[in-house]
Amino acid sequence: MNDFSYSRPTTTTEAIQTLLSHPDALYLAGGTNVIDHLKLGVVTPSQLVDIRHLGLDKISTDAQSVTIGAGATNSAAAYHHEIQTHFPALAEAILAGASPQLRNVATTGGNLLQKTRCTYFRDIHSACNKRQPGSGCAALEGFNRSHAILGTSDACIATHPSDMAVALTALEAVIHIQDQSVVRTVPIEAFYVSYGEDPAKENVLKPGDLIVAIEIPRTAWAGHSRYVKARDRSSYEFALASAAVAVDVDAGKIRNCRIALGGVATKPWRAHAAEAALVGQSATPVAFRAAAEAELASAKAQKENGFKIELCKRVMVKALQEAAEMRRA
Amino acid sequence: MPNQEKATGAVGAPTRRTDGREKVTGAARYAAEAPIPKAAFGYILPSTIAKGVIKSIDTSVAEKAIGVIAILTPLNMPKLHGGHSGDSRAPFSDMNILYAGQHVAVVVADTPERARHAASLIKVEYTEAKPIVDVHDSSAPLNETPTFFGSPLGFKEGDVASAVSAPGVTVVKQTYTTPIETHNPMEMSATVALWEGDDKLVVWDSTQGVSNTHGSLARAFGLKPENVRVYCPYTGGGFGCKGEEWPHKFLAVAAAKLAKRPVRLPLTRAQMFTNSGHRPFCEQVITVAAGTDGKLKGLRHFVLSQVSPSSTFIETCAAGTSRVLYDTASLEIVQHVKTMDLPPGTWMRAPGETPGMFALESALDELAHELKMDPIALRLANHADVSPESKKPWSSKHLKECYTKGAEKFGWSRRNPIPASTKTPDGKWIGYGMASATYPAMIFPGKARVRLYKEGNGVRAVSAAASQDLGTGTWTIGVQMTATLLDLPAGQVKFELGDSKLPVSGQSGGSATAGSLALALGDAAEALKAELLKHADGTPLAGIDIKDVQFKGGELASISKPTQKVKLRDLVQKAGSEYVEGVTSDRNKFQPTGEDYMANDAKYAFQSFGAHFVEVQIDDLLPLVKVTRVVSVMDIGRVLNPKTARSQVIGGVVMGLGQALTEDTHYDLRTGRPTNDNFADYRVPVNSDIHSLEVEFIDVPDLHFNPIGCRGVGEIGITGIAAAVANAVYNATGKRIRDLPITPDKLL
Ligand SMILES: Cc1cc2nc3c(=O)[nH]c(=O)nc-3n(C[C@H](O)[C@H](O)[C@H](O)COP(=O)(O)OP(=O)(O)OC[C@H]3O[C@@H](n4cnc5c(N)ncnc54)[C@H](O)[C@@H]3O)c2cc1C
Ligand code: SF4
Repeated sequence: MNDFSYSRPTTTTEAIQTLLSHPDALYLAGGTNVIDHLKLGVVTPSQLVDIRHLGLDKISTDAQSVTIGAGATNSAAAYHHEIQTHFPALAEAILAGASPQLRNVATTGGNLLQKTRCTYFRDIHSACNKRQPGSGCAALEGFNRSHAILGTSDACIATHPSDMAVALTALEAVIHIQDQSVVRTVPIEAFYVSYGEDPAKENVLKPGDLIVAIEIPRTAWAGHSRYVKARDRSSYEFALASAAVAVDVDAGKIRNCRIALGGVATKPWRAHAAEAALVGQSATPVAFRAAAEAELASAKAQKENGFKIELCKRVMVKALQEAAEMRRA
Repeated sequence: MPNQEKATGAVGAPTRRTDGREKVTGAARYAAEAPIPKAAFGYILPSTIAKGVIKSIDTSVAEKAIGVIAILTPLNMPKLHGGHSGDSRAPFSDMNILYAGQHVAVVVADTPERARHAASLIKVEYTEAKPIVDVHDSSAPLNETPTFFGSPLGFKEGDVASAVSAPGVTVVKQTYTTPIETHNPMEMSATVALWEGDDKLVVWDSTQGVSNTHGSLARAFGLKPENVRVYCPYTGGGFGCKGEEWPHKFLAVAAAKLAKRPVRLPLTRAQMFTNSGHRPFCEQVITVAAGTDGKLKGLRHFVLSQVSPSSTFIETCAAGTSRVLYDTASLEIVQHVKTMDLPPGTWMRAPGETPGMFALESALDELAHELKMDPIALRLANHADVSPESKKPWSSKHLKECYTKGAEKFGWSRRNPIPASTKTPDGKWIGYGMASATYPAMIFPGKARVRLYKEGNGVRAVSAAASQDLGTGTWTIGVQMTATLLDLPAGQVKFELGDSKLPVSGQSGGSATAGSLALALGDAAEALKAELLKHADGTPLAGIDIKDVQFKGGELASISKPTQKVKLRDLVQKAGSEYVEGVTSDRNKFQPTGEDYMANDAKYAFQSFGAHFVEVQIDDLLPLVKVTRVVSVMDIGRVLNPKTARSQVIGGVVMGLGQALTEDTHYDLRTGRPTNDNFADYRVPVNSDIHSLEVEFIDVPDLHFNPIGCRGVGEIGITGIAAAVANAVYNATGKRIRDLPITPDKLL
């Protein structure tokens, strides 16, 4: 661990200024990810800029949307009445992640930006293009049971680990980002970028950019949304495959749906192919399976994670079944 | 020291742990927290390579880092005179690297953070060689006739080959694999060393053997045993990984000498994966042949396990399972070992039995299925009425009752023997499985003392043994056993442990603590009786034969003429000293009731038995195994304390569920470094994985074993559980998983 300084700004502008004036500074929110990486030597910040005192922890609602402050804890969001009733997949996704203790301190903004659990990313003695661009990818020929099957490249096959972000992707959340001059909004799908050549670049944030809030629009389908997660143990465990789905079923036919996948892709994965395959179809297991097949057609397995293709299809079918049943109930 | 006022019950009472309050309030101080002012902090730098030689260690930058007091490396390590174990090389005795994570240097600094930071500034240059990490690597040295503790591991009785090929027999031959597992107790190992002058050493250590650690450190540093003191009031779980004298203990002591300051040296969680052992990988092939009546005609148990270049430990899966559990007409055991460039393995909860029972009890289930027999009926058909190993009668065996009681409680009769035939109302597959459990009853020689003091109108007893409490309840049962032996209310009894100055004790391993302590305390109580009788002149007990005397309600009383008695208080008073003391006699000379287990001419075979019954539910679409119910019935002799005994069994069951479903220490095949050396990636079961666990005991005292009649209970709970789960998974789905852990991908 290297020496670093610590600051505790009280306004967003001050936080952004402080970060920009220290080249290797990092924001510190709940710290559950950044402190872990600090101890492992994965990050070596010159300063930690504590953003827990900026008043960003509010959750507000209006007729169009729910807006979660970036500093709201995962627990606060998951147990918020409005979110539980109108965006059940989001509450379920958050509660399916980490542990109660972690969720009590982890924040919404931090959750979106958490880094992969790839073992080689966390081990500073291994080659890793994401941690050290150009050093190679130890996972390609190494332990890759938990790695991605969608959106991978020869440079990196790591999954984005967040559960919450998967639900937010299905619910088409919008990220509010503040820089030195303005607050801009970016749809979550455009927020995460594909790896391409540089897997260190995971999103559109520029240096100093501060996530201030996440806004989720109310839709006809958000209330009929589910999050299903397959994992190696029943709690405190990242997803092997997960799916957030929201469906609008009318008279047995799917009028509209949104599907996002987790644990299988390099970013929270919006399943457009599956959605396209489902719209207008009857809500039947056969249609669900066909949609899953369509989405996973482009999946690429590594040596140890081939099972994820079938597992992911089943997770999708399960989530779709459950969401469709919510509509009936 | 725990507040023992609450220990109100004698043996058999569900007494709460006397140390419970200290633990949940944080008042209990574990080794790393030893109350030593001004102790500096050590941090160990691990090797990043798995095989090779250290070319150079440059500590120049690290030495100048803020707070650094000293840096210990192989270059300035004093020569040790033995005592170390676990890793068979003396710590820091050469420049060779034999496994990833091997200790390379210890930085001592004024804070743990500074020590850790300085360690990152040490530059180590290696000449690196390619490690063998993959068990299928054909260049891994293979030993087909290994010995363990000097004994060969192969065994042959009868002719398995012809039994298997005889007409009309049903044969099952299958391969079962179990991965490397890591113990992961909550408390990470730690040693705190304090030198008093040049020749006196005080150490706080998280150990499974206070006396062993004491002897080892004295020997290693050439100190007089009386000049070394080892304390261990609490061990935060061990499961075997604190049973050897691992390198860090000696490094802590050497670092304290170099730094001229007391040093606290804890291992990190990651180092717990590489520097205090693991359960080795095993590949087992079971061949079993039976007639139509299910009687075993032949059993062959082949084991391939992995050893490490600097370890002699072998996971001997067959010795404690196929050798003792069933009555088979012929038996063959073959063990091979492969040397791989991995950290040393070691004892882990029911070493050998845990993987061994997975293989054997899975194979028996497969055989039952082939024979269309009920799995319990098959086991009953092969019940060993005498020990198959020694041919001696069992001291006390109630395995049949375990089956009956367990089946009844579990509702085994509702099991549909046809796999994949039963579903819950919400559409999940439901499966029932069972397996036997077994573990030997062992004694480690040791002593204890019992002292009687006057108190008020009566007496107070204080018993003691060096011993240690791994969180199992030794503090508590020590009081209970003493209370029973002296027939005093437990409130008048205290028990002390965790200090090498107390009478020497064996290790807490092999489920031997309770039984060994029972034997030592029983003998100490007898010695106390003899001491007290020395002062019986002029009392009704004057001149009485000691065999006719017993402790009875605060008195010594004649057994044949109960009215002849003397108050214990009066005898202590007459003795005129502060207390009267009884100490365990020389173990080789003394004979407890029945036949001493340690004697070569013991008349009996001593073994614990049990049975597990498991229900699983598995979603058709998402095959995540949920173990909804476990019923375990155990025959462990007399139950000293139903509460602590139950905790041991459910602890074993939970660990067994980890073995069955989630645990697997994984190494990168290129670097030999573990890829999951933390609690997020190494999956021990979490609360939500655990549902209904029920434990029953047969509770028949085994008085041939010791005067209390207890056998140990620490390990038997884990044996058989993984097989019971796998058998239930088969019953639920028709899929037989022979490769642990049973992760969802294997059931797709
Ligand atoms: C053992 C373990 C198990 C876990 N299991 C799961 C799981 O199953 N599923 C799951 O989804 N997650 C899981 N997590 C991850 C957990 O959800 C994240 O660690 C947490 O959400 C991160 O939030 P934080 O506030 O602590 O972020 P921090 O650690 O404070 O920050 C994370 C990163 O985000 C940056 N950052 C934070 N806030 C902002 C902001 N407002 N604007 C710009 N940058 C910002 C920080 O600079 C840092 O780089 C697990 C974590 C652990 C340790
Ligand atoms: S998969 Fe990505 S994160 Fe993992 S080692 Fe390769 S580059 Fe690094």
